[in-house]
Amino acid sequence: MFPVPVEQRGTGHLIRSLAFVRKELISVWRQPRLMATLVLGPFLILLLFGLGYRETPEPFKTLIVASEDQVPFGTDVGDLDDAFGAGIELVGTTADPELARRRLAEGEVDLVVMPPEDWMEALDRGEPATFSVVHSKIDPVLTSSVGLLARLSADEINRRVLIGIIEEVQTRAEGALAAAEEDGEVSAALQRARETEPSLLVSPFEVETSALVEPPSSQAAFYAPGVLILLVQHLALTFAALSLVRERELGITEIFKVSPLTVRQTMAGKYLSFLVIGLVLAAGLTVTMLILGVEILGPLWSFTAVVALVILASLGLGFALSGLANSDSQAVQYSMVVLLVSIFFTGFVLPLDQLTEPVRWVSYLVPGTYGIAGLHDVAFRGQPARPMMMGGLGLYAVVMAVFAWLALRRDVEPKLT
Amino acid sequence: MTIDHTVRASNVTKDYGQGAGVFNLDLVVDRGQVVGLIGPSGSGKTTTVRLMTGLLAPDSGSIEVLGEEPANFTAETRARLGYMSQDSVFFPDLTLRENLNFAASLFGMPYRRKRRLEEVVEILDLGDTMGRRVRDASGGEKRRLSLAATMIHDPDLMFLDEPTAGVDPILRRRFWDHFDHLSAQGSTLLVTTQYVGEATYCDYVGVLASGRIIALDSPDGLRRRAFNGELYDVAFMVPPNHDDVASLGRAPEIRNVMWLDDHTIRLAVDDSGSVAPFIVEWAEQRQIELERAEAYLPPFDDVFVELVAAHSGSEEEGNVSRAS
Repeated sequence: MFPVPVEQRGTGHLIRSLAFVRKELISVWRQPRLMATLVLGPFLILLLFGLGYRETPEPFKTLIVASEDQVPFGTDVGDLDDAFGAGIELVGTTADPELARRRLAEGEVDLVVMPPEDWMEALDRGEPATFSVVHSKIDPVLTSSVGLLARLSADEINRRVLIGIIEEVQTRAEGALAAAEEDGEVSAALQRARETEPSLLVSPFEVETSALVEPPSSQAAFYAPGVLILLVQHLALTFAALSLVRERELGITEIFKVSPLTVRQTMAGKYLSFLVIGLVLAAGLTVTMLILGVEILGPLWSFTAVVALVILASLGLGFALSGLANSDSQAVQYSMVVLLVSIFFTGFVLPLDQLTEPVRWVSYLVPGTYGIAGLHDVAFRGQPARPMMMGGLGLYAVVMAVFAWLALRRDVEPKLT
Repeated sequence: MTIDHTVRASNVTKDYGQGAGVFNLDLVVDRGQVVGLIGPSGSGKTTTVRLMTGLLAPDSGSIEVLGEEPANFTAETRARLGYMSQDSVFFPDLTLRENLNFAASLFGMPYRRKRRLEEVVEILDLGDTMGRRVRDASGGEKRRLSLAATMIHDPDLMFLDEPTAGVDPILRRRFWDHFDHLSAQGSTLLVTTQYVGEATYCDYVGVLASGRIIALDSPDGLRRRAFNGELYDVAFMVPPNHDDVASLGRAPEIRNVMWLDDHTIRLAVDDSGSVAPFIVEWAEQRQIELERAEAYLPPFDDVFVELVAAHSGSEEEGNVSRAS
């Protein structure tokens, strides 16, 4: 009878799994270019994003086509600039509409505003006086901004015109007040109208908003957890997919199939090694976040749990995708597609609420969706990630682990055909 | 119960279509033997190995390796196998030592393995290169590492698929010396090779052609089979009379006579060791002066060519052979 090898009775399972941990860690460490692009790159991206993101957009450079006396509420261009607000930077006036359009076409200015030629006459006719705003923007967001700024500016101009009118009415109301003294009620009303601030008469109400929780200190701070999740997801997915595809391309899976290695041991080794790499990366990114002024208001354990689950789910997705890829480049292509889907569908750029119901389900096919929502809870709401998100992420990780098992089985167990 | 045979294949067919695959393969390998499978590229050597390691399932027939069907190998059985594939497959960013350690771990070898590692490294003369990354190693170093990784866990049965392909003659010789050493220690080796001359190192040799084992025997047995006996060369001082030589061919000790040139004939005989007195007596009776008379050991290239040619000329298929 052939003797049974000693190692089979002991710690063989652990030894085989740890062999993969060691191998993956060394492989990643020994590839400086991979380290630079996949590990150091994310730090630089986050840092660059944090340092370079402009909190307030560049104001639109605006040219007015009118003589100064045409301006409805005064002759001071500075006043007009003030009326347009921070979103618009008045760069001058011109009486030549053609010149204004040419400067707009050449990109020297962003907006050209043409006030009505005789606004008083229009009012006398019972028609609104129209300001024409011409722009050259093609970006829908910027186009919307122009529309919004134009409406706000119109409101402000209307308000100022009304204040002027009311001031004049109040001045002339003294005579009417004397005439109305016999009628007490009319007199009191006129008195109130005369004594009330014109600006209050024009805008008697204002709105105050307040948030249940302190919002992030800046736009960059708001986006930082999303960037962290997407980078960690992308790296875990790419590492996992490339790891299996490379082993297949090398032909080493044939040795695995003949050896006593099991799928479970391979999975344990690979999950553990990439989880360690992912957590180290996430820790570095978190430190970068803190340096950029992002506060984590909630418990650190929940923050860590969210990141760890995103890594595990992404690894599973990566292993599963490797089953579809026949080469390194295909695996990278798949991971880039997932990254692209993640940017649009995870709530990273656009709120999930803005996606219609059937399309929104796509969001839940990406681990980042759960991760970003979870980190927003922890970092900004100061509470542990919602159980629904954690449960969803956990379930996702388990489902992906099943797919990973199927993909690994192909590489580790002989396919007897 | 003691299991003597390590490998038993019975009427195994794996048909890839268009004549590719292996057909009606019968093979029995006993413990401690070095069995070589020799044949040209595409003759079915690798398919045979893949069938026996469980990487492929046969279309028909049965295979038993270490008492189990390859499809149902347990982890314990797999731990007793060593498999060296045709290509040297390693992780390029790991050093030779790290790769060897990985291979040892795959077979569950305990971490106290330093002595065994050093032993294997010394046997294969890899000492100076172990700290080098595989991507920087030479082809010969990779082949040696492949063999080291295959034998690191001291397997009972090794399948070595063209281990000497692309290896220089000195290293090839060292490989075969080591296979002999492993065999002496009780390991069983099934080795494929394209180098026909390597047949001489094997206990038994299976000659493969077109997916069929056309002969399986000891190296000497193959020679006998190829030339219808052992070969004996006789050179004459002067060209002999053809009638005299024909009379020699009719003797019961002589199976066949071939003319090599006017002065020399090659005889196929039952036993080249005992035919010498008969030849001397025959020459003396006819007053023929001999220049030399000696046994001829044909190179295996010739043996192989003869066997393949004989096979091509016959319709015989599926030789049932036993390497014992």
